[in-house]
Amino acid sequence: MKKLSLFLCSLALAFSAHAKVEVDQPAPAFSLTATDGKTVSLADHKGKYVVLEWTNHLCPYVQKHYESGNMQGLQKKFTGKDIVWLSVISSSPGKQGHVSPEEADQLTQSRNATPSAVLLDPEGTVGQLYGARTTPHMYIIDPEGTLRYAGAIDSIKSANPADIPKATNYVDQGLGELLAGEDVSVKASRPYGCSVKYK
Amino acid sequence: MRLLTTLLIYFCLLLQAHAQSSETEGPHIRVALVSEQSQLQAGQTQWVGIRLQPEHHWHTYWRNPGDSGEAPSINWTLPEGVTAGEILWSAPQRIPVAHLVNFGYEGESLLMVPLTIDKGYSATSVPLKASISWLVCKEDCIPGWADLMLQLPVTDTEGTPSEQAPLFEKARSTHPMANDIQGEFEVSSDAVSVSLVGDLASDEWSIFPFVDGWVVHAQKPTIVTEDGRLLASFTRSEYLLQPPAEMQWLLVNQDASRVYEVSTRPASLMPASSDFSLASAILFAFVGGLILNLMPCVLPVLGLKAISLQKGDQRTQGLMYMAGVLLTFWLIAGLLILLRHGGASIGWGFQLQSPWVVGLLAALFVAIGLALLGDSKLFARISGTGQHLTEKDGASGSFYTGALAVVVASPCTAPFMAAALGYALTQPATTSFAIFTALALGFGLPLTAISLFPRLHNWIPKPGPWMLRFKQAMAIPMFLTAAWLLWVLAGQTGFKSVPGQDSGPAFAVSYTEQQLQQAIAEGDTVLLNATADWCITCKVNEQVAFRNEELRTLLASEGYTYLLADWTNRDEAILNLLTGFERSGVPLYVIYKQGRKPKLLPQILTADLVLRELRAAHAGAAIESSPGQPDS
Repeated sequence: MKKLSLFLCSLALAFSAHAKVEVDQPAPAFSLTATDGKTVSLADHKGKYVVLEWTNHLCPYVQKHYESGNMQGLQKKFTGKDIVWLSVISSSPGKQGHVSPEEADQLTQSRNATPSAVLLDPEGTVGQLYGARTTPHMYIIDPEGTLRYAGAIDSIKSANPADIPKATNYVDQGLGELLAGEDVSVKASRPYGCSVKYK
Repeated sequence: MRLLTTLLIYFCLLLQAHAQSSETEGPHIRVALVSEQSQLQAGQTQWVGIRLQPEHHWHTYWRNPGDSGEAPSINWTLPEGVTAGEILWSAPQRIPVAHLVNFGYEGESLLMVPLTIDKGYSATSVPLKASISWLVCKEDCIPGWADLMLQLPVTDTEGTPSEQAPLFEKARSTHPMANDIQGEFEVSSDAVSVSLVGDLASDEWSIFPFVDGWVVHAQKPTIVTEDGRLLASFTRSEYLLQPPAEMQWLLVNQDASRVYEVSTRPASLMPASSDFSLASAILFAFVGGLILNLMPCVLPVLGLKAISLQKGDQRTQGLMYMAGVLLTFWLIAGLLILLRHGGASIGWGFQLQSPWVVGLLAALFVAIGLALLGDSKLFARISGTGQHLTEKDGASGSFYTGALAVVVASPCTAPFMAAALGYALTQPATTSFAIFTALALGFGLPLTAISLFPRLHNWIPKPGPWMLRFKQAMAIPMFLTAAWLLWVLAGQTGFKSVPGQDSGPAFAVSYTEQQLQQAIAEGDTVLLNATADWCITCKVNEQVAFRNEELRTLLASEGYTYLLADWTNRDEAILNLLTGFERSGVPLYVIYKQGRKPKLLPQILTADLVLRELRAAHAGAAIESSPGQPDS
């Protein structure tokens, strides 16, 4: 426990020194309420790879990746490899994509999604902390708590599902490289999609 | 039921119309393919366009959509002989959405595209098919796609304006205009700055980057004007990993009556004096080595040696001669490197950037030039010695001949050697070695070539009075070199290049490690400003922050020290300072205070920020502040 709090403190310190999130630097610590009412912290998952996915089910760019089954495919593939997948909703109440915990669970079910948890961030604090700009906006954090990737889900910035097979999926590629013990070849990219609907 | 059927038929008609129509309606937007002319003329370039009419308060995007969004795209399917060019974008607006900023068009816009029809195009009409995708947003966004078609007659005569022609006329006033603005950009660890030269002073400008991921759009750039230049500093985007070879920007004045497209190249971070590349230095050294053979005390030696070479094993002798020359030059280079190394360790700065080295070199070249001009007896005497030596030296080994040739010829070769020496002194060991090797190869080449190909012997010029004139003529490049060095010197010490003139007020102290330590030891609050004349971001900060009266008064007051580290001419000590903060360039702003860790300030400053940090350090309060926090 002492170790954990030390870790958290160091994370907090690291963050206060760096106002923005940087790849290959410690990922900022956070705690959010999941749809089941439980609190999920990044620190809970130390020792595992963590994927953060900013989402908004009404955003056409999110729909591109859900209606094509692309996002679910990634979730299935990586949660099956003991990787923690956290979908984060930072839409504020009254804005596009804001959902109640029940609605979020229904969405997960109806879309056959398999994230480890869906986290609700209606105040947008964690979204701002990570500098999440768009939905989707993806992050990969390694077992040591270091951010290894931040950016777009893939290489073609469009809302057209036909582009998915032609694009390089940066999350798939990055995690694949990390699991193979290699360095991530694309560490950051410009995220694309709808703006996160912060308050 | 009847209603349903009617609706269905209507829907089918609509669908069919959609497939062949030149316009479509998506949620919150109407999109149409339009032409400026009602008929097109073969052999001409005419204008067509995509007209985007979003609902009130909805917008579409510019080529760089900003933090989110997507620029519209057009995919043409055209008959042979017809080609479409790139979209000509109108000046965009800044559209803030929550904490993000987008670039686009609120309300109607026209994406104009040039269409060229070959002279030989024979059909009587041209079908223009365009697959268009767009994104229309208010806060939420809706993407759309459509295939639009416009069939236009083609004639030999000039076309007549279509109903949409006024739209094109209007759009033209929003396009970039011809300009002669020159620009450079500079990327530092957290800023991207541009310096633009042109007629820009009289207006206020918005500057839009062509590509997302260069700068943070939500933060407006800091813009200042200085010496007829417009300087702008942007916060660097975290997505800018490798600066591109070129950065393009759109400049729009306050009422959008002036719109300029400007392409910028990386700013040359090196002062003019270092613009001498290794390759050209090696080439010069080689040519210099060749020329050495023509000097009065070398040529006679060469001629006689060449004759003596004709006896015996020429190849071996020739190669041994070259080896002798090479080894001697290497010895000289080695000595030089040792000297330089020793000099550096006792604090000499052998840098072409330091004015005294440049000054001395210039003086040396003038002296050499004068010596060459004068009918100095020295040359003649040495020439005699050389002759004497070669006569005597027939059998004692060509290796030594080569070595001796270098030594014996040194009085005449000294001028050129001095030039190479001077340059080599300012360079790393490997560079010095490369230069001396090139010099040696050039020097040894003629004789070695003769030994290998004896027929070349006839090509050697005969010694004669022309040598004297040649020698005197060689004074001209010496004077030119001296003039060039003086020009460099003027650049280094001239009034324009010393930041002390505009950023360094009287209370500023030049940085040395000792000055810094002393100020800290005395308990002063120290602001260190590492700057350079060629650094655009530094210039912006100097105008925006360091000209502030309150800040100047504070820095001038008791208990504060303002240290200025000028990196215009590069400097080992400042480089060490920078690398200590894991920086490889300027600007660098640090506040030092006894008992506190040095506080690094951001690369884009405001007077308020510097004042706040200085006062906090002075008060000894351990406040943590980041640029995002409100002023306290």
